Amino acid sequence: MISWKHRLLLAAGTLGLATWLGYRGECHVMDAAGSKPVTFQSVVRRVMAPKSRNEHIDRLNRIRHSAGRTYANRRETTEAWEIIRAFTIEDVKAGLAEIPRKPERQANEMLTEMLFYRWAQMDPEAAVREAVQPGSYGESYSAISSVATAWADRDPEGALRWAANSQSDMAKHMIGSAAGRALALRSPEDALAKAITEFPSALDDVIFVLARKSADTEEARRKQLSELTTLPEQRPRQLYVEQLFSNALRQGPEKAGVLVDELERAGVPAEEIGRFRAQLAVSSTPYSFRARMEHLAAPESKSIDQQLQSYYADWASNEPAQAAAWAEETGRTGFVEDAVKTQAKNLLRSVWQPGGGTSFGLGEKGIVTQYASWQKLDAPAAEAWLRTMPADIRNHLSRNHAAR
Amino acid sequence: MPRAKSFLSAGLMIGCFGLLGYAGKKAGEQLACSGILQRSAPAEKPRSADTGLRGARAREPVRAELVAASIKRLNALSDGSPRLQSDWEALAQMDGVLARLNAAELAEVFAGVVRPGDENFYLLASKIGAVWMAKDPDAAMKAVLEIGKSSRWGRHLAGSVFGSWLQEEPEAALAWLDSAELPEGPPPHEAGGDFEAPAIGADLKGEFRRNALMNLVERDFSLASAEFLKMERPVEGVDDYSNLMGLWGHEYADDPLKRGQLVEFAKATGRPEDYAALNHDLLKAWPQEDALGMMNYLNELRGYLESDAVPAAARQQVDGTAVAAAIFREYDRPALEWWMERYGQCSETPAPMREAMARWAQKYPDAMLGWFEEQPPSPQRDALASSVVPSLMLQKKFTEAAGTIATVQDPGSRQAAIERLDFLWREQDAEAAAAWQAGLPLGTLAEPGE
Repeated sequence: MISWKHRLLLAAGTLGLATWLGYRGECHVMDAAGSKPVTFQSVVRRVMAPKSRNEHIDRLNRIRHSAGRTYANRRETTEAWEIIRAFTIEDVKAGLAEIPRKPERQANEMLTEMLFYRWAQMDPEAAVREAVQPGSYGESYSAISSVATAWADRDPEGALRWAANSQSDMAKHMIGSAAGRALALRSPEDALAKAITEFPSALDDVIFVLARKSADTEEARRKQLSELTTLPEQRPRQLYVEQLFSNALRQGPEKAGVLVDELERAGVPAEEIGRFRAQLAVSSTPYSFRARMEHLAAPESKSIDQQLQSYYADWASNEPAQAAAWAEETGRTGFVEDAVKTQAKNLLRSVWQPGGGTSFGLGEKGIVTQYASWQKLDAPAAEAWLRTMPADIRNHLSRNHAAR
Repeated sequence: MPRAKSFLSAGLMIGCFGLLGYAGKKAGEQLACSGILQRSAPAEKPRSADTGLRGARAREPVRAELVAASIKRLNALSDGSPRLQSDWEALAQMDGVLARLNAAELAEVFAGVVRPGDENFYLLASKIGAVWMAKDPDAAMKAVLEIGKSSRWGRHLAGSVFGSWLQEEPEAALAWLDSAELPEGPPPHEAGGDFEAPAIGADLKGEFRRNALMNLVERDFSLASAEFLKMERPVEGVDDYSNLMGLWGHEYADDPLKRGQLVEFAKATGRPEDYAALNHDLLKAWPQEDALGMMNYLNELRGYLESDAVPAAARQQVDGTAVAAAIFREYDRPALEWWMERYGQCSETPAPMREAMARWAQKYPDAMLGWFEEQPPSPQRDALASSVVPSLMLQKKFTEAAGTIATVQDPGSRQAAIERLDFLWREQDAEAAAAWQAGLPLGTLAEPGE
C-alpha cells in the first residue's frame, strides 16, 4: 500500500504535470496561425507517416505560423506551392489534417485552397466530396473554388456531368462556372451547342468567354452574333451582347459607343440598343456627386423634382458643403430645407446627443452646414422652423452645446 | 471482502488522480488563455536588407525577346485559366516568368499585359506591380497609380502593391514611403467614383502606412511600434477607421502574448489616448471564455488608472473609455460605482461613456433604470441620465424616459430632454404625449413658434 506521503507527492506531481500539459497544449493551439490540439490520432498519424511527409508538413506549418494572422507573402506562397504541387493524395490529407478551421486565418485558408487544388488535380471527385461534406469543410467556398478550377482545367465535361447531379448548390454553381469557361476556352466552336443541349448550368460562362474571345474583331463578333440569333431562345443572344457591351464599357465609353453603333448595324433590337445608349450616357458623366447632379438637373435629362431632391439628400449627407454651395448657386431652397428637416428628424430619432458622440460625425456636422445655407437662402423660414424644434436641435444649430 | 475493499480504494484513488489531472489540464489551459503565465516573445523575424542596387537594376538593359516571350506567356496563362485567382499552378508559372525580369523589363511587361477592363486586370496589375516595387518602387508606383485612375479600385490596387512589397521587405518599403512623392489624391468620391471603396481619406501616404502597420505588428512588432510613433494620430474618435491602436486591440484580444506587448507599448507612447483607444477595443473583443484573464486585466487597469500614470488633463477621457468598455462587457455595476466615486460631482461625460450608457439602455433597460434609482442626485448622474433618454425614446419606452427625465436635477438638461421627448412622443402617440404634458408644470413646454 502506498503511504500518504507518497500519495500526496504523486497527487502534486499529477496536478503539476497535467497543468503543464494543459498550458503547453493551449499555447500550441493558440500559436500564431493556430494549430489543432494534439490527440491520439494526430500522434499516430505523425509516427506512421514517412519522414519526408512530416518534413514537408513541418515546412508548411512554419509558413503558416510565420504569416500568423496576416497574408502569406510572395516568397511564402511560392514555397508553399512548391511543396504542395509534389504531394500525393495521402500527403494532401495529412496536410489538411494539420490545419485548424477556426479561428480563420488567411494563411491557413490559402494552404487549404492549395491542398484542395492539388487533391483535385489527382482525384477531383474525392476532393469535392470532402469539400462539400457537412461537418468537414461544410461547403467551404475557397475549397470548392479550388477544386472547381483544377477539375475544370483537367476535364471540364466530367466536372459538368458531376455537378449536374450534385446536391450542393454551391458546388453546382462553382463547378458549372469554372467548367463552362474551360469548355469555351478549349473548344469555342462547339461549346455553345454543348452548353445549350447538355450543360445548361455552364451556359452563362460559355457566353462570357465567347464574348471575351470574340471582342477583338468586328468580323468575329458578327459571326458569333448571327450564330446566336438563329437559336430559338433569345436569352443567349441577349446575354452575349450584354457581355460584349459591358466588356467594352470597362475599356472606356468611346469603345463602348463604337460597339453600340456596330450592334445597331448588326440588327440588335432597338430596345436593347436604347438601354445601352442610356447606360453609356450615365457612364460618360464624370463620377462625382456634383457632375451627376448637374447631369440630372439639365433640362434634357427630364428628371422630375422628386428624383433631384432625393439625389440632393444623398449628396448633402455625403458632401454637405459642396451640396450646399451648389444649392446656393442654383437657388434650390426647397432641397436645402428638405435636407435640414430630414437630417434633424434623423438625429432626434437616433441616440444622438449634441456634442456627445463620435458615431454621428458626418450627419451632425452636415446639418449645421445645410442650415447655414438655408439661412442664406431664406432666413425667416429657417429661423421660424428652428423655433419649433426641441432644444437639442436648437442648441446644436446655434452651436450652443453648453446649454444642455 | 478485503480484496473488494482494496479494489474500491484503488479505484477511488485512480478516480481522484483522474480528476486532479483533468482539473490541472483545465487550469493550464486557462493560464495560457489569460496570459498570466506569459510565454516569452518569439525572436523577431529576420529583417530583409535594403536592396541598395535598386537604381542600378532599374538601368539594366531590356532584353526585347525575353520581354515579348514573357508578355505572350503571361497573356496565355491569364486567358487560358478558367479562374485565375484559384489556379495555383498558373499563378506559380506567372511568378516564374516575372522572377526572370529586371526592373526595366517589368515596366514593359506591365504596359504590355495590364489592361484596365480585362477580367484579370486587378490580379495581374498587383502581381506584376508587387515584383516591380521591390526592384524600382518609384517607377512601379507611378505606373500603378496611372493605370489605377481608370479603375474604381485604383487606390486599393496601389495599396495592395505596396503592401505586398512591405510583407517581404518592411524596412526598405517604409524607408521608401518616408521619402516617396505620392500625389495628394482627392477624396475617393472625386477620384473616379470609389463609392464602394472605404473612404479612408485623401492622404495616400498615411493610408499606406496605416494599412502596412495593421499587418506589420504581426511580423515585426518593434518596427511596427517605432513606425506607429511617427504617425499622425487622430485626437478624437475611438471609432475612427484610422484608429490603429483600436484595430490592433480588436485583432489581438485573444492572443495573450501580443496583447501584453500592445498594452505595454500603449502605456509607453506618451499619449494617454493611445492606451484609451487600445482598451476600448481590446476589452470589447476579449474572449468570453477567458473571464479570469479579463478580470485580472480589469484589476490591473484599475490600479493603473488610480495611479498617477495618466496626466490629470486626460484622466477623465481615459477612465471613461475603460469604464465604457467594462459596461459593454457587462461589468457595469462595479465599473459605474468606481466611476461615480471619481466623477460624481463632474457634469461632463466623455463620448465613449455616453455611447456605452446608450447601449446599456438599449440592451438592459430595466437593469439600467434600476441602477439610476439607486443613485443619489449628482451632476454626473444628470449627465448620464441625459445620455440614456434618447435610447429609451428610440425603443419607444416613452413612459420610462419621462420617469428618468423627472429625476434629472439640472434644469437645462431636464428641459432639453422634455422637449425632445415631447417631439418624438407626439410623432408616435399624440394622445399619450398630451396626457404626459398635462402632468407637467405649467409653461414647461412652449407652444411651437413661441
